[in-house]
Amino acid sequence: MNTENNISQELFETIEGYLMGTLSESEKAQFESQLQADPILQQQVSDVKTMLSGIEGAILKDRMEVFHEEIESNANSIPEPIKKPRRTLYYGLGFAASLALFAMLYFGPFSENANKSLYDTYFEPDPGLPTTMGSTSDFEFYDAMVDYKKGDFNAAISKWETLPNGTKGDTLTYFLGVAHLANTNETKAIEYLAPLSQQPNPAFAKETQYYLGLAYLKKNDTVNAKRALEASGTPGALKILAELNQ
Amino acid sequence: MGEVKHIDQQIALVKAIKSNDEMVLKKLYQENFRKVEVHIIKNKGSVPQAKDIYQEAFLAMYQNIKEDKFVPRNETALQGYLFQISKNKWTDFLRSSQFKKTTHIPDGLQLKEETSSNGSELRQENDQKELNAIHAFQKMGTECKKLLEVFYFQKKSLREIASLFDIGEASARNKKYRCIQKLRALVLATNS
Repeated sequence: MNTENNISQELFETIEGYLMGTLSESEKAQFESQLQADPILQQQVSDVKTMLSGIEGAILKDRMEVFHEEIESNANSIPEPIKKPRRTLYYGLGFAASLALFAMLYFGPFSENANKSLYDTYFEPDPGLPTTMGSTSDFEFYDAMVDYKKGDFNAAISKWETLPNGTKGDTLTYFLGVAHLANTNETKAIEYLAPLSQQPNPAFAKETQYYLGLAYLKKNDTVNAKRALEASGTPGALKILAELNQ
Repeated sequence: MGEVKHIDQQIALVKAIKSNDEMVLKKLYQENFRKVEVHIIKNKGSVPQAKDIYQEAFLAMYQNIKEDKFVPRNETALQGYLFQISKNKWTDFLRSSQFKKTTHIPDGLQLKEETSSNGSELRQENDQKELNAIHAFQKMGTECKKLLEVFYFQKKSLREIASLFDIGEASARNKKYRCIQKLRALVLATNS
Protein backbone atom coordinates (compact mmCIF):
# COMPACT_ATOMS: atom_id res chain seq x y z
CA MET A 1 0.00 0.00 0.00
CA ASN A 2 1.47 3.28 -1.10
CA THR A 3 1.22 6.49 0.93
CA GLU A 4 1.34 8.73 -2.11
CA ASN A 5 -1.78 7.16 -3.54
CA ASN A 6 -4.19 8.99 -1.28
CA ILE A 7 -7.74 8.23 -2.16
CA SER A 8 -10.31 11.02 -2.17
CA GLN A 9 -13.78 10.33 -0.79
CA GLU A 10 -15.28 10.42 -4.26
CA LEU A 11 -12.75 8.01 -5.71
CA PHE A 12 -13.03 5.76 -2.69
CA GLU A 13 -16.78 5.53 -3.08
CA THR A 14 -16.46 4.66 -6.76
CA ILE A 15 -13.93 1.92 -6.02
CA GLU A 16 -16.12 0.65 -3.20
CA GLY A 17 -19.15 0.61 -5.51
CA TYR A 18 -17.14 -1.25 -8.11
CA LEU A 19 -15.97 -3.89 -5.61
CA MET A 20 -19.36 -4.29 -3.97
CA GLY A 21 -21.11 -4.50 -7.33
CA THR A 22 -23.34 -1.48 -6.79
CA LEU A 23 -22.26 0.58 -9.82
CA SER A 24 -24.65 0.87 -12.75
CA GLU A 25 -23.68 -0.91 -15.97
CA SER A 26 -22.48 2.31 -17.64
CA GLU A 27 -20.54 3.44 -14.54
CA LYS A 28 -18.95 0.02 -14.33
CA ALA A 29 -17.92 -0.01 -18.00
CA GLN A 30 -16.44 3.46 -17.70
CA PHE A 31 -14.56 2.57 -14.54
CA GLU A 32 -13.16 -0.62 -16.06
CA SER A 33 -11.76 1.14 -19.10
CA GLN A 34 -10.13 3.70 -16.78
CA LEU A 35 -8.78 0.90 -14.66
CA GLN A 36 -7.15 -0.86 -17.58
CA ALA A 37 -5.12 2.19 -18.50
CA ASP A 38 -4.13 3.32 -15.01
CA PRO A 39 -1.67 1.27 -12.91
CA ILE A 40 -2.01 3.64 -9.95
CA LEU A 41 -5.77 3.11 -9.98
CA GLN A 42 -5.17 -0.65 -10.16
CA GLN A 43 -3.06 -0.40 -7.03
CA GLN A 44 -5.70 1.69 -5.29
CA VAL A 45 -8.41 -0.83 -6.14
CA SER A 46 -6.25 -3.61 -4.80
CA ASP A 47 -5.61 -1.66 -1.57
CA VAL A 48 -9.29 -0.97 -0.99
CA LYS A 49 -10.10 -4.59 -1.73
CA THR A 50 -7.61 -5.75 0.88
CA MET A 51 -9.07 -3.34 3.43
CA LEU A 52 -12.63 -4.41 2.81
CA SER A 53 -11.82 -8.09 3.04
CA GLY A 54 -9.80 -7.33 6.17
CA ILE A 55 -12.91 -5.79 7.74
CA GLU A 56 -15.01 -8.82 6.85
CA GLY A 57 -12.30 -11.22 7.96
CA ALA A 58 -11.90 -9.50 11.33
CA ILE A 59 -15.63 -9.62 11.98
CA LEU A 60 -15.83 -13.25 10.91
CA LYS A 61 -13.06 -13.99 13.41
CA ASP A 62 -15.13 -12.41 16.19
CA ARG A 63 -18.16 -14.38 15.10
CA MET A 64 -16.20 -17.63 15.03
CA GLU A 65 -15.31 -17.17 18.70
CA VAL A 66 -19.01 -16.91 19.50
CA PHE A 67 -19.87 -19.95 17.33
CA HIS A 68 -17.13 -21.89 19.05
CA GLU A 69 -18.22 -21.00 22.57
CA GLU A 70 -21.65 -22.35 21.67
CA ILE A 71 -20.17 -25.67 20.59
CA GLU A 72 -18.29 -25.89 23.88
CA SER A 73 -21.30 -25.02 26.01
CA ASN A 74 -23.50 -27.47 24.09
CA ALA A 75 -20.91 -30.16 24.63
CA ASN A 76 -20.92 -29.41 28.35
CA SER A 77 -24.66 -29.74 28.59
CA ILE A 78 -24.47 -33.36 27.38
CA PRO A 79 -23.91 -35.57 30.41
CA GLU A 80 -20.20 -36.01 30.18
CA PRO A 81 -17.85 -36.89 32.99
CA ILE A 82 -17.11 -33.68 34.83
CA LYS A 83 -13.55 -32.58 35.21
CA LYS A 84 -12.21 -32.41 38.70
CA PRO A 85 -10.84 -29.07 39.90
CA ARG A 86 -7.39 -30.53 39.67
CA ARG A 87 -7.39 -29.89 35.94
CA THR A 88 -7.66 -26.16 36.61
CA LEU A 89 -4.52 -26.50 38.63
CA TYR A 90 -2.95 -28.19 35.62
CA TYR A 91 -3.76 -25.21 33.47
CA GLY A 92 -2.84 -22.81 36.26
CA LEU A 93 0.62 -24.24 36.41
CA GLY A 94 0.70 -23.59 32.71
CA PHE A 95 4.14 -23.62 31.28
CA ALA A 96 5.77 -25.37 34.20
CA ALA A 97 3.26 -28.18 33.96
CA SER A 98 3.75 -28.65 30.25
CA LEU A 99 7.49 -28.65 30.79
CA ALA A 100 7.12 -31.32 33.42
CA LEU A 101 4.85 -33.34 31.17
CA PHE A 102 7.27 -32.89 28.32
CA ALA A 103 10.12 -34.05 30.49
CA MET A 104 8.14 -37.13 31.45
CA LEU A 105 7.44 -37.87 27.83
CA TYR A 106 11.01 -37.30 26.89
CA PHE A 107 12.31 -39.87 29.33
CA GLY A 108 10.01 -42.62 28.15
CA PRO A 109 6.69 -42.43 26.44
CA PHE A 110 3.97 -42.15 29.03
CA SER A 111 5.43 -43.10 32.30
CA GLU A 112 3.04 -44.78 34.65
CA ASN A 113 2.76 -41.59 36.68
CA ALA A 114 1.65 -39.50 33.74
CA ASN A 115 -1.11 -41.96 32.86
CA LYS A 116 -2.26 -42.30 36.47
CA SER A 117 -2.40 -38.58 36.86
CA LEU A 118 -4.39 -38.19 33.65
CA TYR A 119 -6.76 -40.87 34.94
CA ASP A 120 -7.15 -39.11 38.28
CA THR A 121 -7.77 -35.83 36.54
CA TYR A 122 -10.53 -37.14 34.33
CA PHE A 123 -12.22 -40.08 35.97
CA GLU A 124 -15.68 -39.38 37.27
CA PRO A 125 -18.18 -42.21 37.41
CA ASP A 126 -21.19 -42.02 35.10
CA PRO A 127 -23.85 -40.00 36.95
CA GLY A 128 -26.20 -43.01 36.74
CA LEU A 129 -29.81 -43.37 35.68
CA PRO A 130 -32.78 -41.62 37.29
CA THR A 131 -34.24 -43.96 39.90
CA THR A 132 -37.97 -43.65 39.56
CA MET A 133 -38.59 -47.34 40.28
CA GLY A 134 -41.83 -47.25 38.37
CA SER A 135 -41.89 -50.84 37.21
CA THR A 136 -41.43 -53.52 39.82
CA SER A 137 -39.50 -55.91 37.59
CA ASP A 138 -36.59 -53.48 37.56
CA PHE A 139 -36.70 -52.93 41.28
CA GLU A 140 -33.42 -54.71 42.09
CA PHE A 141 -31.61 -52.94 39.32
CA TYR A 142 -32.73 -49.49 40.48
CA ASP A 143 -32.26 -50.33 44.13
CA ALA A 144 -28.59 -50.95 43.33
CA MET A 145 -28.55 -47.79 41.23
CA VAL A 146 -29.40 -45.84 44.38
CA ASP A 147 -26.33 -47.37 46.07
CA TYR A 148 -24.24 -46.56 43.01
CA LYS A 149 -25.35 -42.95 43.03
CA LYS A 150 -24.61 -42.67 46.73
CA GLY A 151 -21.08 -43.82 45.94
CA ASP A 152 -21.49 -47.20 47.64
CA PHE A 153 -20.04 -49.11 44.72
CA ASN A 154 -19.48 -52.34 46.68
CA ALA A 155 -23.18 -52.57 47.54
CA ALA A 156 -24.21 -51.74 43.99
CA ILE A 157 -21.85 -54.30 42.49
CA SER A 158 -22.92 -57.12 44.78
CA LYS A 159 -26.61 -56.46 44.05
CA TRP A 160 -26.06 -56.11 40.32
CA GLU A 161 -23.91 -59.22 40.08
CA THR A 162 -26.74 -61.37 41.46
CA LEU A 163 -29.12 -60.26 38.69
CA PRO A 164 -29.53 -62.66 35.77
CA ASN A 165 -27.46 -61.94 32.68
CA GLY A 166 -29.26 -59.77 30.19
CA THR A 167 -31.22 -57.81 32.78
CA LYS A 168 -31.80 -54.38 31.29
CA GLY A 169 -29.85 -55.47 28.23
CA ASP A 170 -26.41 -53.88 27.96
CA THR A 171 -27.20 -51.32 30.61
CA LEU A 172 -26.39 -53.66 33.48
CA THR A 173 -23.06 -54.70 31.94
CA TYR A 174 -22.14 -51.08 31.35
CA PHE A 175 -22.88 -49.94 34.89
CA LEU A 176 -21.11 -52.96 36.37
CA GLY A 177 -18.02 -51.97 34.40
CA VAL A 178 -18.15 -48.36 35.50
CA ALA A 179 -18.88 -49.33 39.12
CA HIS A 180 -15.83 -51.60 39.19
CA LEU A 181 -13.70 -48.83 37.75
CA ALA A 182 -15.03 -46.39 40.36
CA ASN A 183 -14.24 -49.06 42.94
CA THR A 184 -10.59 -49.00 41.79
CA ASN A 185 -10.81 -52.41 40.17
CA GLU A 186 -9.85 -51.61 36.59
CA THR A 187 -9.18 -55.25 35.69
CA LYS A 188 -12.77 -56.20 36.50
CA ALA A 189 -13.98 -53.08 34.70
CA ILE A 190 -12.21 -54.18 31.54
CA GLU A 191 -13.74 -57.65 31.84
CA TYR A 192 -17.18 -56.05 31.55
CA LEU A 193 -16.47 -53.17 29.23
CA ALA A 194 -14.15 -54.79 26.65
CA PRO A 195 -16.66 -57.44 25.45
CA LEU A 196 -19.44 -54.85 25.56
CA SER A 197 -17.41 -52.54 23.32
CA GLN A 198 -17.11 -55.34 20.75
CA GLN A 199 -20.86 -55.77 20.41
CA PRO A 200 -22.41 -54.45 17.21
CA ASN A 201 -24.78 -51.88 18.67
CA PRO A 202 -24.42 -51.57 22.41
CA ALA A 203 -26.32 -49.03 24.47
CA PHE A 204 -23.90 -46.38 25.76
CA ALA A 205 -21.47 -47.23 22.93
CA LYS A 206 -19.39 -44.06 23.24
CA GLU A 207 -19.49 -44.09 27.02
CA THR A 208 -18.40 -47.74 27.08
CA GLN A 209 -15.35 -46.92 24.97
CA TYR A 210 -14.65 -43.87 27.11
CA TYR A 211 -14.59 -45.78 30.40
CA LEU A 212 -12.74 -48.66 28.78
CA GLY A 213 -10.11 -46.13 27.68
CA LEU A 214 -9.86 -44.79 31.21
CA ALA A 215 -9.54 -48.32 32.61
CA TYR A 216 -6.64 -49.03 30.24
CA LEU A 217 -5.11 -45.69 31.15
CA LYS A 218 -5.20 -46.67 34.80
CA LYS A 219 -3.54 -49.96 33.87
CA ASN A 220 -0.90 -47.91 32.07
CA ASP A 221 -1.80 -49.53 28.75
CA THR A 222 -1.49 -46.41 26.61
CA VAL A 223 -1.96 -48.18 23.28
CA ASN A 224 -5.32 -49.70 24.19
CA ALA A 225 -6.35 -46.54 26.03
CA LYS A 226 -5.79 -44.45 22.92
CA ARG A 227 -7.61 -46.94 20.74
CA ALA A 228 -10.70 -46.96 22.98
CA LEU A 229 -10.70 -43.18 23.41
CA GLU A 230 -10.48 -42.70 19.65
CA ALA A 231 -13.38 -45.08 19.18
CA SER A 232 -15.36 -43.17 21.78
CA GLY A 233 -14.88 -39.78 20.19
CA THR A 234 -16.79 -37.93 22.94
CA PRO A 235 -15.50 -34.45 23.83
CA GLY A 236 -14.16 -35.89 27.09
CA ALA A 237 -12.33 -38.69 25.29
CA LEU A 238 -10.83 -36.25 22.81
CA LYS A 239 -9.53 -34.04 25.61
CA ILE A 240 -7.70 -36.96 27.19
CA LEU A 241 -6.38 -38.07 23.80
CA ALA A 242 -5.12 -34.56 23.20
CA GLU A 243 -3.23 -34.65 26.49
CA LEU A 244 -1.82 -38.06 25.64
CA ASN A 245 -0.63 -36.54 22.37
CA GLN A 246 1.13 -33.61 23.96
CA MET B 1 -24.72 -30.53 6.62
CA GLY B 2 -26.21 -33.88 5.91
CA GLU B 3 -29.46 -32.49 4.57
CA VAL B 4 -27.78 -30.61 1.75
CA LYS B 5 -28.55 -32.93 -1.10
CA HIS B 6 -28.37 -30.99 -4.27
CA ILE B 7 -25.86 -28.87 -5.99
CA ASP B 8 -28.44 -26.08 -6.13
CA GLN B 9 -28.29 -26.00 -2.39
CA GLN B 10 -24.52 -25.73 -2.51
CA ILE B 11 -24.84 -22.80 -4.84
CA ALA B 12 -27.34 -21.22 -2.46
CA LEU B 13 -24.91 -21.92 0.38
CA VAL B 14 -22.09 -20.14 -1.41
CA LYS B 15 -24.37 -17.21 -2.13
CA ALA B 16 -25.46 -16.99 1.50
CA ILE B 17 -21.82 -16.97 2.62
CA LYS B 18 -21.01 -14.21 0.16
CA SER B 19 -23.71 -12.08 1.73
CA ASN B 20 -22.49 -12.98 5.25
CA ASP B 21 -25.69 -14.76 6.27
CA GLU B 22 -24.84 -15.32 9.90
CA MET B 23 -27.16 -18.27 10.47
CA VAL B 24 -25.60 -20.08 7.54
CA LEU B 25 -22.05 -19.26 8.64
CA LYS B 26 -22.80 -20.47 12.13
CA LYS B 27 -24.37 -23.72 10.98
CA LEU B 28 -21.51 -24.44 8.62
CA TYR B 29 -18.97 -23.65 11.34
CA GLN B 30 -20.60 -25.69 14.05
CA GLU B 31 -21.50 -28.71 11.98
CA ASN B 32 -18.04 -29.26 10.59
CA PHE B 33 -15.82 -28.58 13.57
CA ARG B 34 -15.97 -31.96 15.30
CA LYS B 35 -14.76 -33.86 12.28
CA VAL B 36 -11.72 -31.61 12.00
CA GLU B 37 -11.13 -31.81 15.74
CA VAL B 38 -11.18 -35.60 15.66
CA HIS B 39 -8.73 -35.61 12.75
CA ILE B 40 -6.28 -33.26 14.47
CA ILE B 41 -6.43 -34.95 17.84
CA LYS B 42 -5.96 -38.36 16.28
CA ASN B 43 -2.89 -36.92 14.59
CA LYS B 44 -0.95 -35.69 17.60
CA GLY B 45 -2.82 -32.43 18.06
CA SER B 46 -4.37 -30.73 21.08
CA VAL B 47 -7.82 -29.22 21.62
CA PRO B 48 -6.63 -25.58 21.27
CA GLN B 49 -4.63 -26.48 18.16
CA ALA B 50 -7.74 -28.02 16.61
CA LYS B 51 -9.65 -24.80 17.20
CA ASP B 52 -6.88 -22.59 15.78
CA ILE B 53 -6.40 -24.67 12.66
CA TYR B 54 -10.12 -24.93 12.05
CA GLN B 55 -10.63 -21.18 12.37
CA GLU B 56 -7.74 -20.49 10.00
CA ALA B 57 -9.25 -22.94 7.53
CA PHE B 58 -12.72 -21.48 7.88
CA LEU B 59 -11.38 -17.98 7.21
CA ALA B 60 -9.45 -19.23 4.18
CA MET B 61 -12.56 -20.95 2.84
CA TYR B 62 -14.56 -17.76 3.38
CA GLN B 63 -12.00 -15.62 1.55
CA ASN B 64 -11.80 -18.06 -1.34
CA ILE B 65 -15.57 -18.00 -1.69
CA LYS B 66 -15.54 -14.21 -1.76
CA GLU B 67 -12.96 -14.28 -4.53
CA ASP B 68 -14.84 -16.92 -6.53
CA LYS B 69 -11.98 -19.36 -6.12
CA PHE B 70 -14.37 -22.05 -5.00
CA VAL B 71 -17.04 -23.50 -7.26
CA PRO B 72 -19.19 -26.34 -5.85
CA ARG B 73 -19.07 -29.51 -7.93
CA ASN B 74 -21.07 -31.94 -5.81
CA GLU B 75 -23.56 -31.95 -3.00
CA THR B 76 -21.14 -31.80 -0.07
CA ALA B 77 -18.43 -29.90 -1.86
CA LEU B 78 -18.06 -27.01 0.54
CA GLN B 79 -17.99 -29.19 3.64
CA GLY B 80 -15.36 -31.39 2.02
CA TYR B 81 -13.39 -28.34 0.95
CA LEU B 82 -13.38 -26.98 4.49
CA PHE B 83 -12.18 -30.32 5.83
CA GLN B 84 -9.49 -30.53 3.17
CA ILE B 85 -8.13 -27.06 3.95
CA SER B 86 -8.05 -27.93 7.66
CA LYS B 87 -6.27 -31.18 6.94
CA ASN B 88 -3.69 -29.49 4.71
CA LYS B 89 -3.05 -26.78 7.27
CA TRP B 90 -2.51 -29.40 9.95
CA THR B 91 -0.18 -31.41 7.71
CA ASP B 92 1.78 -28.23 7.01
CA PHE B 93 2.00 -27.55 10.72
CA LEU B 94 3.23 -31.07 11.47
CA ARG B 95 5.93 -30.59 8.88
CA SER B 96 6.88 -27.14 10.10
CA SER B 97 10.01 -26.46 12.11
CA GLN B 98 7.84 -25.14 14.94
CA PHE B 99 6.38 -28.58 15.46
CA LYS B 100 9.59 -30.53 14.95
CA LYS B 101 11.41 -28.38 17.48
CA THR B 102 9.00 -29.15 20.30
CA THR B 103 7.98 -32.71 19.62
CA HIS B 104 9.79 -35.96 19.42
CA ILE B 105 8.32 -38.02 16.60
CA PRO B 106 8.97 -41.73 16.94
CA ASP B 107 10.55 -43.40 13.92
CA GLY B 108 8.08 -44.65 11.39
CA LEU B 109 5.49 -42.06 12.30
CA GLN B 110 6.90 -39.25 10.22
CA LEU B 111 4.64 -38.03 7.49
CA LYS B 112 5.64 -38.74 3.97
CA GLU B 113 6.40 -35.72 1.85
CA GLU B 114 3.47 -34.70 -0.30
CA THR B 115 2.91 -31.65 -2.36
CA SER B 116 2.39 -28.73 -0.05
CA SER B 117 -0.99 -27.07 0.20
CA ASN B 118 0.67 -23.66 0.07
CA GLY B 119 0.24 -21.82 -3.17
CA SER B 120 2.62 -19.43 -4.80
CA GLU B 121 4.57 -16.71 -3.06
CA LEU B 122 2.16 -14.16 -4.45
CA ARG B 123 -0.69 -15.91 -2.73
CA GLN B 124 1.19 -15.83 0.56
CA GLU B 125 1.93 -12.14 0.12
CA ASN B 126 -1.76 -11.43 -0.40
CA ASP B 127 -2.66 -13.53 2.62
CA GLN B 128 -0.21 -11.51 4.68
CA LYS B 129 -1.69 -8.22 3.49
CA GLU B 130 -5.13 -9.42 4.39
CA LEU B 131 -3.98 -10.52 7.83
CA ASN B 132 -2.43 -7.09 8.34
CA ALA B 133 -5.75 -5.50 7.41
CA ILE B 134 -7.51 -7.78 9.92
CA HIS B 135 -5.11 -6.77 12.69
CA ALA B 136 -5.42 -3.10 11.77
CA PHE B 137 -9.20 -3.30 12.00
CA GLN B 138 -8.97 -4.97 15.40
CA LYS B 139 -7.02 -1.95 16.67
CA MET B 140 -9.73 0.56 15.71
CA GLY B 141 -12.06 2.36 18.10
CA THR B 142 -15.45 0.85 18.88
CA GLU B 143 -17.49 3.42 16.97
CA CYS B 144 -15.63 2.99 13.69
CA LYS B 145 -15.63 -0.79 14.10
CA LYS B 146 -19.38 -0.82 14.57
CA LEU B 147 -20.04 1.49 11.64
CA LEU B 148 -17.79 -0.42 9.26
CA GLU B 149 -19.24 -3.73 10.44
CA VAL B 150 -22.80 -2.65 9.78
CA PHE B 151 -21.96 -1.38 6.32
CA TYR B 152 -19.43 -3.92 5.03
CA PHE B 153 -20.33 -7.10 6.92
CA GLN B 154 -24.03 -6.75 7.56
CA LYS B 155 -24.43 -4.98 4.20
CA LYS B 156 -26.91 -2.44 5.51
CA SER B 157 -27.69 0.61 3.42
CA LEU B 158 -26.51 4.09 4.39
CA ARG B 159 -30.11 5.00 5.17
CA GLU B 160 -30.43 2.09 7.62
CA ILE B 161 -27.10 3.02 9.17
CA ALA B 162 -28.17 6.64 9.54
CA SER B 163 -31.26 5.64 11.49
CA LEU B 164 -29.32 3.04 13.50
CA PHE B 165 -26.73 5.58 14.63
CA ASP B 166 -29.31 8.34 14.79
CA ILE B 167 -27.45 10.64 12.41
CA GLY B 168 -28.15 12.06 8.95
CA GLU B 169 -27.38 10.01 5.85
CA ALA B 170 -24.70 12.45 4.64
CA SER B 171 -23.09 12.38 8.05
CA ALA B 172 -23.07 8.56 8.06
CA ARG B 173 -21.39 8.61 4.68
CA ASN B 174 -18.69 11.05 5.81
CA LYS B 175 -18.12 9.15 9.01
CA LYS B 176 -17.65 5.94 7.05
CA TYR B 177 -15.01 7.61 4.87
CA ARG B 178 -13.18 8.98 7.90
CA CYS B 179 -13.16 5.53 9.50
CA ILE B 180 -11.78 4.05 6.28
CA GLN B 181 -8.99 6.66 6.29
CA LYS B 182 -8.13 5.71 9.86
CA LEU B 183 -8.08 2.06 8.91
CA ARG B 184 -5.87 2.81 5.93
CA ALA B 185 -3.42 4.66 8.15
CA LEU B 186 -3.33 1.69 10.52
CA VAL B 187 -2.77 -0.72 7.63
CA LEU B 188 0.05 1.44 6.29
CA ALA B 189 1.66 1.50 9.73
CA THR B 190 1.43 -2.31 9.92
CA ASN B 191 2.83 -2.86 6.44
CA SER B 192 5.81 -0.58 6.82
